[in-house]
Amino acid sequence: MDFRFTAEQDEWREEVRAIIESLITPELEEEMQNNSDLGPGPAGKAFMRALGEKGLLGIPWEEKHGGLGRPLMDQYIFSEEIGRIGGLYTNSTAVNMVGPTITRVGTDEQQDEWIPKMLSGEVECALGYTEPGAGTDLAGLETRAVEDGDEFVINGQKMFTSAAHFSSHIWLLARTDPDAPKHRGLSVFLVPMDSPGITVRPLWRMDDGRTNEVFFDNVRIPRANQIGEPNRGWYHVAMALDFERVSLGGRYAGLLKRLNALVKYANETTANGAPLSQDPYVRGQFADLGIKLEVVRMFSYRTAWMIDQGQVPNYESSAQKIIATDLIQEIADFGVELLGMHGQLTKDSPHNRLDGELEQAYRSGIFLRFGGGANEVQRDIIARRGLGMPR
Amino acid sequence: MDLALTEAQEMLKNSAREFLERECPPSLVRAMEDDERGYPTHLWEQMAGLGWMGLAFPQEHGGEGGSLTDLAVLLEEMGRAMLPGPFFGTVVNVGLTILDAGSDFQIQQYIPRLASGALIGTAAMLEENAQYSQDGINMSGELSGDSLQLSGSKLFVESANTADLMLVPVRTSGSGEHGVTIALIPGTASGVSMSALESIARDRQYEVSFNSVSVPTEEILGGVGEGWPVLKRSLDRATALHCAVSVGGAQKVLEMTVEYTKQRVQFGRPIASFQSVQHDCADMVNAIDSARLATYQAIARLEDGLSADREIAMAKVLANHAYKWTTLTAQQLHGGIAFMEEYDLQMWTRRAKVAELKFGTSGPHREVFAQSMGLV
Ligand SMILES: Cc1cc2nc3c(=O)[nH]c(=O)nc-3n(C[C@H](O)[C@H](O)[C@H](O)COP(=O)(O)OP(=O)(O)OC[C@H]3O[C@@H](n4cnc5c(N)ncnc54)[C@H](O)[C@@H]3O)c2cc1C
Repeated sequence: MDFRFTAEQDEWREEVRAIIESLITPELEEEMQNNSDLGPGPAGKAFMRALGEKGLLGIPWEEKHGGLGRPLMDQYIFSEEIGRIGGLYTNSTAVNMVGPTITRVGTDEQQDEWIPKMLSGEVECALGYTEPGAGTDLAGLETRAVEDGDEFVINGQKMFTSAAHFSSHIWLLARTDPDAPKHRGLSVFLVPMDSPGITVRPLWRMDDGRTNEVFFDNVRIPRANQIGEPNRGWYHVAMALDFERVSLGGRYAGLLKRLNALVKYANETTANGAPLSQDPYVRGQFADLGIKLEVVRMFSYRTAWMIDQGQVPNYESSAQKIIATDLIQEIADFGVELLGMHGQLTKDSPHNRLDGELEQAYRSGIFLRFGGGANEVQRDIIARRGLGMPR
Repeated sequence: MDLALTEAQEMLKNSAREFLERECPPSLVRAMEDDERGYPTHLWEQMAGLGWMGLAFPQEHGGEGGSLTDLAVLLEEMGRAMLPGPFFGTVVNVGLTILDAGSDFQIQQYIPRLASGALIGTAAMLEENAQYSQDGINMSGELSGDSLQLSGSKLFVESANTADLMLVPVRTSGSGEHGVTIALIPGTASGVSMSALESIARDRQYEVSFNSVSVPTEEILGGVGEGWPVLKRSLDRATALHCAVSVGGAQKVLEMTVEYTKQRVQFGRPIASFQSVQHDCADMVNAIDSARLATYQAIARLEDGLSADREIAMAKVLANHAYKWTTLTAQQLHGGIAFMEEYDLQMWTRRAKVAELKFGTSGPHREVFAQSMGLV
């Protein structure tokens, strides 16, 4: 076994690091200071387009789709380098989830139409899955898409539709066959957000970000915007979710940065006459979190390595999702605790510590444990798919 | 990066598993708990015939020329089977340490016989303070002319009853890292006596007393007063390799638990269909996979001669947790039946706790890791 990167991979890392650094403008830095969760501003969008021009939005995509045709491990290395900077908006749903799905299930015409626009940053997608009555049990959703000549007519409501307020399209999962079993009557659509009949209303997150609810009132779209096989939408979406889980790998670098900042703080802060770092409780907590972070990294490499070997991860991407998302919260939790009374202060408070980042992280860390497939369900997958335990 | 075992390692794994399932079933392990010797000699001879003791030694010294990773693959299977006896002491604690630091004379004298299984070895390191550190070595050794006189006692000496060769670090001068001297002593040397320790794992461990035992200076390993670095490297290897033993045990316990819960019916359905049971098992998978990846990473670094303190510490913390927690959760999911002495699970459970204590509990290893993070 060999756990090290090859010389080529090290070179690739240097290369993408240099590119990323060269693309960071003062305007972008200013924008990053002001909460990227609201979506990218003009500088963020320009940054995405520039990455696209360098081919860095489609690293593992096949060359015929405009990608670089490189191994997934190279995508990971890129994600780590993006994460190392922190605050950069690159979680493009179009590039990370929708595009890879279209390259597998879309017709040639659909691939020709959508892929270049996604790689250039022209098309960005919101994910339209969740509804008021359908969260974890997504297949129970009720939004309808009904054929009418050369068009589909869409009616219903989506919930928690992040990015809907700045995306060009919504990747919509809707029911096309109400008489089929619930997993077998769904199809996916790419719906332009400027279609008549769409209303977007903001929902404000407890971590200051924005998400939305989206209403569809007799929205008409061309039949060509139905992607993949009719009524196979559930399976296409499951594929896209797998891509999303894999893309969580890049969290390592951001978390390492956060942990290192906390180490520095503990070294430099005195409590009861000694550096915080010398408190045995503090040291033990740090070690546990640091070790878990290394596990996140190894689990990420494992999934990427398996895919590059042509294997299909079985339970491994679920394992990675659980470990990474639990840890995000644990680090934030310990971080606020370490900062003590000052830990509660927000980024706008002059007395805050570490820019109030931990306080914010504590609030936002809650989300990923149930979002993107609740961790309970990921554990089900490990038990059922991985260990063959019965329903 | 390459996270797979080689084809040869897969073969080794499969053949070792098959052999141990046949020759070292839980019934044998159980019988050996009450056996005075602690393991059957015919099993030792069979293992020697398979070349296992020689696996990680160079061919020029009678070994198979395998790597530390090969050895870890084998140890994982041994942990799975709870193999009793002096394999780890012979190969890891004594053999690899002599190979690392021995004089030509010592290597020629001992390695071929350790590699063939003709010689059984054990390390007698710990003392009453039970510290795996330079400060734990206090038993005195005095140099006079061309011999070293040892007096004092060592604790937790595994398989001392059958050891032909003991590796014994003592203090000849100074304190801390300086002045530790390692002696190689025949198990039958005059002045050596032992008494058995009763432990939770019911394996063979002893207090070994040295009453003016005299050792010629050519049996000193790594130079007079220069023993600590040798011992540190030896402990590093042993710690990492012992994690493989734990991983193997934990994996077996997980499999037994999945099997059992699929069969056990309560409330009209297999208990394996309860989500909380599934989640416990999913968490076991993650704990074991974490420990296994970390273990092989640490061993790969040792093999490549890279610094590995951080990786070993991490592997040990993860392996301690994986093995112990898997056994305790397995006990919970089995309920009453496995609380019975005649049920096999409890044998792994008792060993998992010992594996946690051996080569350092998680506390000190966390401290090593914390330092590696830059905490002052
Ligand atoms: C900030 C934010 C952004 C989001 N962005 C998007 C988006 O862009 N597009 C989109 O489509 N959706 C989005 N979502 C929705 C998100 O995917 C859902 O919140 C998630 O799927 C969970 O659904 P729910 O909230 O309805 O919780 P529920 O399904 O009601 O589940 C609540 C809890 O019940 C438990 N639970 C549920 N099912 C099981 C089970 N089978 N076994 C054990 N326990 C279970 C879990 O603890 C779970 O957390 C977003 C949500 C948030 C909060």
